[in-house]
Amino acid sequence: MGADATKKGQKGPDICLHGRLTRRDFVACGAVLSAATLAGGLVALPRRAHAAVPFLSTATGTNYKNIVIDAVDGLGGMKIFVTSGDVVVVKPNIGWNSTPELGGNTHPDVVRTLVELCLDAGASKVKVFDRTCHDARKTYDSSGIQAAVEGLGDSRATISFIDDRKFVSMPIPMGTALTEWEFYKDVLDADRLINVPVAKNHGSTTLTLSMKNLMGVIGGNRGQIHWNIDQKLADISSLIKPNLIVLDATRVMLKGGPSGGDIKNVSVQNHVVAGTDPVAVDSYGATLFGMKGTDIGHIRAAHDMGLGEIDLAKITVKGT
Amino acid sequence: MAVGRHTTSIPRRITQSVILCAFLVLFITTTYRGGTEIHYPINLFFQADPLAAAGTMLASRTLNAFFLPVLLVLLATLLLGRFFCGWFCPMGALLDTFRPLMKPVDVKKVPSRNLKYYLLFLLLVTAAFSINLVGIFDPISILIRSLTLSVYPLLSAAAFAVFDQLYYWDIPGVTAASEAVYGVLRETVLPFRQGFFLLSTTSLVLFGAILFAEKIRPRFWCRYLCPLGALLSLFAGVSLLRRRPTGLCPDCAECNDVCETGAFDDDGNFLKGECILTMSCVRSCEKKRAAYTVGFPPRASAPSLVRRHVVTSLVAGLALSPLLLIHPKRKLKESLGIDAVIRPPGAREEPLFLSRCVKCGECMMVCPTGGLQPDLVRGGLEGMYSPILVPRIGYCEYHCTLCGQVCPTGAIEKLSVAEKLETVIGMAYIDTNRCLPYAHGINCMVCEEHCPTADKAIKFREPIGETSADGSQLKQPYVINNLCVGCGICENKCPVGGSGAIIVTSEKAKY
Repeated sequence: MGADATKKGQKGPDICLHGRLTRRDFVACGAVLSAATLAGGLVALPRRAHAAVPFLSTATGTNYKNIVIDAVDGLGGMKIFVTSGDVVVVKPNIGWNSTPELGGNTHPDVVRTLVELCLDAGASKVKVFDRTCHDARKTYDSSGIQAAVEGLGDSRATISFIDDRKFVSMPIPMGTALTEWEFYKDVLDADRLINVPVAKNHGSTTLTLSMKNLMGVIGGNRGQIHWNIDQKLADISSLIKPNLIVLDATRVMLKGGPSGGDIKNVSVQNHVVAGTDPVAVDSYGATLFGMKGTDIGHIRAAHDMGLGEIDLAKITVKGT
Repeated sequence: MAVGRHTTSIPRRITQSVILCAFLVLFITTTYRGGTEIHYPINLFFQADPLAAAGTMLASRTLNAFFLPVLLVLLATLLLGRFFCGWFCPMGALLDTFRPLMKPVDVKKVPSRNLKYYLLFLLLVTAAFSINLVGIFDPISILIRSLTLSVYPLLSAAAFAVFDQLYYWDIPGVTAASEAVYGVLRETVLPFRQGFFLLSTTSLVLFGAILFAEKIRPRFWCRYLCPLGALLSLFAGVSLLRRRPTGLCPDCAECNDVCETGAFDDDGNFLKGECILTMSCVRSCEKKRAAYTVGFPPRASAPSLVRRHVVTSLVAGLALSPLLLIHPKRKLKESLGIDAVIRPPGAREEPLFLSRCVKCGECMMVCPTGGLQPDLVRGGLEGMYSPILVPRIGYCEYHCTLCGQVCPTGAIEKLSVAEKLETVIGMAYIDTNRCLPYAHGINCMVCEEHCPTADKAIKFREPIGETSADGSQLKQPYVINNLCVGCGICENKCPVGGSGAIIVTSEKAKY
């Protein structure tokens, strides 16, 4: 995956660039949602109209495993996104020293379920990591995510701390505020990227949803991202395109984000939404806070770049 | 000097190896690897350190149950003499390990072995005046501190450099193997992240000096300088230990050559307080004359101290105490309640904190962000090597209580996580001349984002009609004094170059 189109042995949606049609692409093209999947491919594509109608699949319930499965099934199931032998990155939010009920990080049950689904779909490797804000040893532990992944006891599923050597500088062809930045090699090299953000409020970006969660796969001095952050987040999303996004709104932090810490500010919504269009997912996510996608600078910026659909009237939402 | 002729007995070699290994293992495990507790901190070694116990309890004028095992050490010393130095001291074990690797140099003039006693007296007198300087000279402190501040960061930097280079070269076959080794090392002996410490060079030079002094005389440090050795020596002098013969044999005098500490005076008399029971003399005595026994009553053997020098050291201690007490920081603390530096969370109020701190550096070793650094002079001479928080280097992790867990003397109290969240160590203020939203009209908010308190201590104003450079509403952060705990993550993460545009000081006042 990734933007290095000359990489040998590259799989996935690069057919759009090379016209090298592999058997698995052919199979994928036959799938109902292949168009959407390709649109959500991880290669920076020229700006173009989005395929079909953006589709979001939602689920609500107190059993987080079941609602994640339901939401992914609503898109056609994990086999649409992951096929046998794939190296998959599952990127949750593990940024904060926060226990699951406080909603600072993605819920461990949500992460575990997605990893399991990937393994069931035949992934050869599932890598889980995040470039954290608080000390990673603490956040991996207190979030419950390390225990969730290791608890699967499957050698194919690994959770690791960020290795600073693995950041590589990449041009961002569509970028205007960011034309070049460092990205994590494991993400660039993976066949599939699944972005699993948690829905929270945020001081500088108002909300942190899926696009903001990609801050966890970039290197460099992230403090500098905060100037003109809306456009920079959109620029990052123009290069890094998850194949699947599952927004965790099981517990939604309404105030005090992104770090949180006060249970009073957490609204338990027991809700997840899955999709392939980051703008659509985030625009829908904004409604969970009583806002619209157009109220949020970086969602607007991403829409203006043609990265996805912001207008919920043009998005099909199915599920509970 | 027949340095090469020392023979180490197998039992002693095994004991020293076990001690040294245990020491290094505990040192490595005094690091954060997840969870909330450190189970095996290296501070255990201080429980058997009479000098740290004496200095700390004298200076803080409190008894400390942590040091109870010290009584056993002293009791055993009264029975057997200075076995601790020969068999159990990790510094001694390290010196005995390194000495065979060095070529001795012929130096005729050496200091008086009494120097260590004078240093001990000076330290104890200052401790009696509530100034605890023992940590600066205590061998256990020196060892942990040197490893923490210099040796370990140095070795880990070398290891990281090698493995990183192999990783970047990406040599087929080789890199895969090196990465496998690297992975194992990261799980075991390498630090989670490279340590960066102030005073690392200074610490290394002093530590190196102690090691290389072995070239001049075996156990140079122990013979001439170690105040812990001096303290044990005073007890050993009245111990039940007996040696025969009681001096060097006129026809041989071999013992003085093979003795690691040269435990004989100029007239050839055996000095019980200098003997560290390596038994080298017994093993090398061809005529089988030398032997050790335990007998009652004890035959006292006092060091032949020069009265003038004893008086000098006592007077120096007496003078040093007020000299340190007249440091302006004490005046500011007493009259205005102003702290000179940011101390770790749970640190007792100055100067009580300094009366207990033995400057071992364990808190710096364990600090997950590397924000705890050794002080040089900001807190006064007595605070040299004591821990201060330097937020620009590393912040105080909000839920972390590790420094209090590993502190051997209670200078930093053990806090529960709930107590820690309420512990204020300083306060942040914003330099609006440099803060981007104020000075340049550019939105930033990194400090607010990272502020860890449940009700954020940094909030922001949105001045009506003022926009950031990108056209979005301008947001200007401000600190709410009575919510800020002074953890310093804001200063640490502030993207403004040089010193941050938000700075944490030791002020804790509530307005």
